[in-house]
Amino acid sequence: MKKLIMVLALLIAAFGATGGLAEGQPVAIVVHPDVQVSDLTTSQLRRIFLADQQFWPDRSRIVLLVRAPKADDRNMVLDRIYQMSESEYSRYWIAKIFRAEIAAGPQIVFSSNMAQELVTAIPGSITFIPSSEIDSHIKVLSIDGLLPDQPGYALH
Amino acid sequence: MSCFIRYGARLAIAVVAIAVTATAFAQDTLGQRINTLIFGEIDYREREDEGNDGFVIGQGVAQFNMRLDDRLSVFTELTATARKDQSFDFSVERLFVRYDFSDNFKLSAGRYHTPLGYWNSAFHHGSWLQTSISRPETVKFGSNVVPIHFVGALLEGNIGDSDFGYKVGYGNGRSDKINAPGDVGDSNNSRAWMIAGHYRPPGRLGLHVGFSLYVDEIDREFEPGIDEQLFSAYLALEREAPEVVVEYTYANHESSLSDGNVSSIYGQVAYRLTGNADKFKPYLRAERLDVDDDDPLLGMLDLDYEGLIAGTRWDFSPSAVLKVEVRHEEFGNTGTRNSFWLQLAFVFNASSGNRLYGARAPEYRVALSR
Repeated sequence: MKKLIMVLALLIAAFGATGGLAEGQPVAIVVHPDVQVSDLTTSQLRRIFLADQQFWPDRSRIVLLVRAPKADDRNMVLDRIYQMSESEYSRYWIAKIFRAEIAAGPQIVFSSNMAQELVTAIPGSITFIPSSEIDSHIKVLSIDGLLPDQPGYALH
Repeated sequence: MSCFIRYGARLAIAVVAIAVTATAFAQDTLGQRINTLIFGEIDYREREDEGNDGFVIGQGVAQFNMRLDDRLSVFTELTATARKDQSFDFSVERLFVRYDFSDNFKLSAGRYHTPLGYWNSAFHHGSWLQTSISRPETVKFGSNVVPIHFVGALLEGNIGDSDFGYKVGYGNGRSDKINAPGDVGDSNNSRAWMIAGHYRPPGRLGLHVGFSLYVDEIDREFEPGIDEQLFSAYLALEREAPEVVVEYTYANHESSLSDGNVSSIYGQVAYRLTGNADKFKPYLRAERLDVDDDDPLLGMLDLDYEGLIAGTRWDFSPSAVLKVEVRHEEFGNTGTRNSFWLQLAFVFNASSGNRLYGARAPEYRVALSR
């Protein structure tokens, strides 16, 4: 029995470490608490994650945090927001830097915990986290007026 | 062969040393960041009726994008290009300082890739970035048709919150050597100006359409005061299945003695294969360039061109590619020529341990220690 519990615990830990996203579980868009925005349209969200919009309305710079490859929430964001494959995504950022449209690509985060720590610490930052892993003090944005737990939310 | 190895090693050492030094310097300076990209290539060619075939050390490129603060950045691009006399040509391709007031207004000054048309800005020295080995003839390195570089000031940005953008430039224009910009002043004291607009909505196709207009006055030794107007329009699908680029360029040159036109169009189609073959992307490009014999700037240079190229790129690594290309081309009145090319091209992102999708989070340590 102990062995079974240990195996299950290891499986759960491994699942968590790779950013597993249960089916139907939404991904939340979260920002630094001082960001003066509470809702984005899907179009605005895409422009921000594509770095076509690099400043918040108060003219502070947006800092983009993106999960490292393999995480399920990253895969969802690549599919729904970027609408790119992994190789297209890589090429997109190299091209963006090459064209001097941005000074640097998105910052990589390696876990949901890291994403939460950074998004509360770095002014102007924005990232995405599975909604089930969000701490209560994190600022969650609504997309097209809907929060992650509401029907019709864009990142289910 | 020993020359090849010797100069190749020197090039590699020089580029890596510059990149590592600059990156280390930046990491020691809190609040400032540098993003370093290195591009390189090695080519092999076999051409009908030509000498100097075999292996060729292509261009080595080091780019440093330095963010000095939240709004101010400096972009530098240095290249090393092998020459026939066994030496290397080192040059500053781009160097400009930019201040971002907002997404709508970004003002910069320095030396750029002229934002005229698509290819010249989108790929330029990044061989790894461009699907094909060769650049279109109209925008090849050293092209006389399009001013490849521009020295001056540039205002650019988004138009409102839309997917439209603009660029307005004012600078020195072509120098006495018409395929080079005026790096140390405007040789005829007649500034060039340009405007460009584009539309790039988010979406699975990566649609990008745009136009640009460039106006200058050029003095040649025997023909001063040649007015130049260049117009370019393009449509690109920037994703990989399919990838499409169509670009049209029209130029009018007018002097007191004659006037003439230049027109050029190329279309390139590529498609990233799926399944087990997803590392391969075959491509095809057709191009035509016509220059009036009476054109006062370019008519004497016999620049007419027709070309058809076909090839495949194999992305055997996330940061390296092997390309194979065959070309059937006609240059001016010299008849048709076939050639075979191979290229090994790579990119290295020195700021992030070659993680192409973005830099690591350097703010992590700093932010959490607050």
